[in-house]
Amino acid sequence: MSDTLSPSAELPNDRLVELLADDAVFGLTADERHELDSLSGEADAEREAEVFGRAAAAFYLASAPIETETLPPRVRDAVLSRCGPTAPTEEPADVAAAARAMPKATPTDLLWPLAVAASLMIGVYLGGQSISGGSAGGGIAVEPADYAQQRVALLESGAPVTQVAWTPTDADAEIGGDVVWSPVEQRGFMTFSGLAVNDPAVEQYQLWIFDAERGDTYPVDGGVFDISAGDGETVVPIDAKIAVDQAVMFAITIERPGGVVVSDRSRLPLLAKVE
Amino acid sequence: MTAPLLPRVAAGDPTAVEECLDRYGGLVWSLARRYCGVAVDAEDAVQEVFVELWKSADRFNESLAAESTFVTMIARRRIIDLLRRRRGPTSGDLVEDIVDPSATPEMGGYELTEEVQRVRGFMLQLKDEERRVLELAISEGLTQTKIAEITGWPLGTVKSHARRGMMRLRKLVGAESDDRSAMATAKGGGTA
Repeated sequence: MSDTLSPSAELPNDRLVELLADDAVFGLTADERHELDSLSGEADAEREAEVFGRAAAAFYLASAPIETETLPPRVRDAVLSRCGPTAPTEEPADVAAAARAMPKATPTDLLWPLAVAASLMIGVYLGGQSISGGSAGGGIAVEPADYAQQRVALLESGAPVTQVAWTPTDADAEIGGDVVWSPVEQRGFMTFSGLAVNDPAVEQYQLWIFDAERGDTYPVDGGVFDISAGDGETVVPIDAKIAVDQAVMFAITIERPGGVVVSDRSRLPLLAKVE
Repeated sequence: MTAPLLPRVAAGDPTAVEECLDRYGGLVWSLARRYCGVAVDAEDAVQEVFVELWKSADRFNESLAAESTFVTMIARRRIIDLLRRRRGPTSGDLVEDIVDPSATPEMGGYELTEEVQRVRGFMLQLKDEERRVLELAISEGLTQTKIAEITGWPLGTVKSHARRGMMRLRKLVGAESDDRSAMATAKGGGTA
């Protein structure tokens, strides 16, 4: 083999090839990434980045010990709870028929892709009001009235609490309520009024929590829940699947029963941005 | 040859997700442990890798690379990005708290593919210095600075060896991928 390495025929820019090689081996700094982006228009850099990435991956597999360690059970559980298959444990006993249609698809220019959903839920039923909080505990019935009381207690506890009102993405929608979140206790509640009743057999609401420490790409799954027929305000507990360091935004999407693998963000009725 | 799982993941098959964790969980965990300096980073990294993997599952093309190679590529990228975003480049030095007493060595759930066997042959075609730098960087997850410390080579020399080694490897692996892709196309095979 010749020691003189010429860049790929598709990549005439030497610097571009250097950056692709650096990226595959060490990753890039922000400045280098910017430089790569500025050069990438010159050639099929995306395809080349894939080839470099595969080469580095194959090198790892070829040089690393064949033995690997078992994924610790707690880490496996964390992965599954964040991005595993749907595992509803109990359906609401008496879900009223949808009182009105769900919100129509809501185009949004939000740039974040919603990540994988974990969707364990418990069903809660009382007096015609069905609530499925995101709790993964498995079917422990909790009175909605208790949620309301717990929310008030959290607000009055004196501990630091984030409280932010929902903003409908459809300006004409008459949806109210708020989010109350305790970063210390890592728990909170959502209230809703005017949010359309859903049929859990068809679709469910899903909460996403955007954490400043994780960036916009990987919001934390806050659980799936349902809104059933009934008057007044619905209170839903938040079930963050993993710790949230600094909540900066909450978002509600409408997804298939149990949540989604990747949200297409086409149905996003509510946002609550922490100012 | 074990049937790939990612096409099923991309198709929304929930059982494939757990099978994928069974098959590649150890591989990703081991990689995260090598690259991350603290246990919490390794655990977060594994979660982010699998989230990224589910999102990228439809990009997997069996005619271009083995599934384990694709998983490793996604895992390395995600972990490197995570480390750079959180606290800058890692030293790559493992600390005690990363060692989980419940973790036991096992044979990888993934197959040692023919592709990997061939890359072992390719590695012999690299210069010793190039192979040394790539082993420290890719296999051990060490930074350029750390590699310079270990080898005693100037930082620029480390970068140069890494680049030249990667360009050489890219030509070998790329040529092979092109061949595989062409063969798959000729046979009407391939996925995604």
